[in-house]
Amino acid sequence: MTDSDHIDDLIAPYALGALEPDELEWVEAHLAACERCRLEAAEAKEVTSLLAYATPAQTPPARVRADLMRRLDTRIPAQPERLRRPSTSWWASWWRPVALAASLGLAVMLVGTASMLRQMEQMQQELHSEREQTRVLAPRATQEAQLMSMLITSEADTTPLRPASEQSAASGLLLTDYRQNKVVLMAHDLPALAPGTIYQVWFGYDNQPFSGGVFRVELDGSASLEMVMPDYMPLYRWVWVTVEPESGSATPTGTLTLTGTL
Amino acid sequence: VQGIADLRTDVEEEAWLRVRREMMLEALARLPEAQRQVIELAYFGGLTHVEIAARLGDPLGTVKTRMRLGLLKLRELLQAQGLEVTMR
Repeated sequence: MTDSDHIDDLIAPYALGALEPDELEWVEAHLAACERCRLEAAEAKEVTSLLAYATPAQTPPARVRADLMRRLDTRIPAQPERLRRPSTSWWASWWRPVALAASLGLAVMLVGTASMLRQMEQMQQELHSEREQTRVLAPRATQEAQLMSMLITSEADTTPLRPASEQSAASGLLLTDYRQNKVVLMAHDLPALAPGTIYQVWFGYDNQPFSGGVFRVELDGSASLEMVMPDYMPLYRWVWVTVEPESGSATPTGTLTLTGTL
Repeated sequence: VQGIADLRTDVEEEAWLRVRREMMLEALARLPEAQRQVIELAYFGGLTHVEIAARLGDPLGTVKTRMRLGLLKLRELLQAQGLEVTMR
């Protein structure tokens, strides 16, 4: 060691992920307290993060691909289903325009017929709600495509997230794009939220967790959230997902659902 | 239109990734053999510096120094190739 106050000789092994577990703990404690070493470590990690580009296989790990394909399989075909009315509806989609025209014609003839007006109003509301769903779902499809591009090009580092409780089937993946300091969380099989609660993501490298944001789950228990990190991403060591009051919390207070080590 | 724009971005991104990969491989190839070896064993092999020292039969201090010098050299080589390695 060139300087007893600093950890110069451990920074390269740290950035390469080559420290022994006890050393890692010690180095992280030092980094939290020493700005000079923290900057050196961040700089070294910048170089090591570029090593990912030299990975011989540009293909993401099989597990990641399987997870992604499962997600795309279940979601993309599912979207038209969600947009369609239940088949028991009297206005199946193929003759909806006919029904609409007929309704309009009748409406003109029977101006003042309260039931018809109500029906039209209802149809308008349904059309509006479908348009709204399309508006919400379209960007999500784009996001899925971006995620796939990130994965296939090995742009992203992936970190598995594990359930905090053995009884839970919840799982997740954290995709880290170091270049943009951006993180995408994808989770599956999350328990449904009780009313008035929300999931919150936390990141930390010392004892001060940073909130990455809040999210809700879809009916199938899946969720995704994109976050831009305020600090240099490789500094973060862990990620948690907890259940918090709907307005979000300043520090984790609720049930720990998913955990991951970065 | 958005779809086409996205596709174009993907293609550009893919091309840029390939360029970076080539640059990275070339930089690695130009590292002194001993430095490249410890970096590869650590990063791609997942070994700790203690395990690397044991495997190579080199002193621990030597392995750590090679890692450090290797990363510095790598940074220098990448910067010389125009690949920006900057601090946030």
